[in-house]
Amino acid sequence: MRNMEDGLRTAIEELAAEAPLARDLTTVARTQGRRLRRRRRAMVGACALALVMAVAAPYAVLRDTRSAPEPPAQKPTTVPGNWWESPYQLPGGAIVTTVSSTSIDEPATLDEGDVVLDRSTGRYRVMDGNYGAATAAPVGDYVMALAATDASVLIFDGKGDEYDHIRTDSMMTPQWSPDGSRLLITTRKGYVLYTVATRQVLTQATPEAHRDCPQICFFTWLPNGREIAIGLRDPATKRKFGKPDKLQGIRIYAPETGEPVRTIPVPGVPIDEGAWSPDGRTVLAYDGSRSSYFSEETYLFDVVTGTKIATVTEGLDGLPQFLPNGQIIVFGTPRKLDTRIHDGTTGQVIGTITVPEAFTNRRVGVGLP
Amino acid sequence: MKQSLEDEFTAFVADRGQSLLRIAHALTGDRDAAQDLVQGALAKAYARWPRIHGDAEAYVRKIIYNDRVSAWRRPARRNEMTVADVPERAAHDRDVTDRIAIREALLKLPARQRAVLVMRYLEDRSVEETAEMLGCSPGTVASQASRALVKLRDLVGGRVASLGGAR
Repeated sequence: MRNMEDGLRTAIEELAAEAPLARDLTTVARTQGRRLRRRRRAMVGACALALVMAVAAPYAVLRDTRSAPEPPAQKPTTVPGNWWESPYQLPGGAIVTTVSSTSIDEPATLDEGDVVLDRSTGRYRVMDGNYGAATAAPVGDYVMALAATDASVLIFDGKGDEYDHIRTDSMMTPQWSPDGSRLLITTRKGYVLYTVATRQVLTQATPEAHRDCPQICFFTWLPNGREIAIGLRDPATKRKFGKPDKLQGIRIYAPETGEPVRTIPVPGVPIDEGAWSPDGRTVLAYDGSRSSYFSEETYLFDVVTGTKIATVTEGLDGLPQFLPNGQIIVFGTPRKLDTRIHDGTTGQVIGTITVPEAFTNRRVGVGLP
Repeated sequence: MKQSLEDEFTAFVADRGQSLLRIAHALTGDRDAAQDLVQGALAKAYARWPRIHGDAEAYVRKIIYNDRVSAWRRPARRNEMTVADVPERAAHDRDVTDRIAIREALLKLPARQRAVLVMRYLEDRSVEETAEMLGCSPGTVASQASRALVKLRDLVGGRVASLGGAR
């Protein structure tokens, strides 16, 4: 792996070094920039004129406009088919709630788009639009989508209609609380806690958490749904540019107050939603001090002792996650097609299952019926 | 625009232009495409300069990365360096041969995956910084990077002995 990374780094540096010399960049940029500005002003003028026309137009004309077909709404659409025709069952009574798009460049199709479970119909549907990420709540009807173009989070209700729109300064993937009632969004200076039922947005600054967290720096929910966690690097160790941080533990916060409540001795970073076992005794985490985070293994740690129990996945595997019954599932990738089930206390593989090919190499969200 | 802001823009381009071109060339592998990419980003920056001049470099870099990734969706604008464009090297030099193979493979990756690798290996950016720059989640960055490495292995595996089974 190291040879490949070294070769890759050299190849990229060589490419960069062959860039043409910067000549006349300023002049051309000015000319094009002035043209852009003029165009923008013209568009603002046109919009203002259209607004005046709309206000001044007779009611009959306005009514005609209202009855015109509406443009396609940015909401999920129903897709007929096989596996997506009913909630897909996983071991331990879990179901698949989301199958992520293969990247935000991909079109909105069943095989490549963001697919979510519509609990009202029991079928899956494709989100219409490109999102940075989209996940259905593990419990309940709501779906979260991270806008691809700006730092905002869209909430869709059970019918697929937009329920709310949250603006933050971050594009990190929001994390659903285990009961699906709240969203946790790591921001540049802290986090945002969003309560779906009340639409309440609570913004907390956690400067010490961000100061002390390693390169992989985001909050996850603990399985109790009352606390949140973030990685903690060893502040005594000098950081080296481009090198992984030495990890010290995981710091736990009270989400309502933004206050740290304790630190657990796991020298790792919880990987994502689904990182914590339902009973809170083990956690799936990166060990950023061991290797490049781009080819990261994931490990199972004992939360009480901080002991590394097992290596659960290697770089070419999918991301593991806990199932509600305490087992761990690792969906297949093109390199490792089998979807594996691991014991949640030992990390050992206890079997493989067959899942639809469409799940391969995609992030599969898990929830309860 | 006020003269002081004009001067500031001129100074910014003089200071950062070459560095931006390096990023653009690593992303495109094509000199003209790199120049177009930087030129377009600087034009957008100029149009908004009074508002963004405090953080101009981040703004311009973000446009460069996102324009490149968006451009990928329009096949006519793909700017691939052909094998013939790769400088010829002595075939007996194993390291050089390996690097050329990696480079060819790199230029065949989808734009987003290449962007992730450029941010990681040229700019030494973290997952979070890469995610913010590309407008996606850290999980997407990590998975794109992982897929990129898998694809690179697929593309060069047979030709570069040092890439196989080193984990």
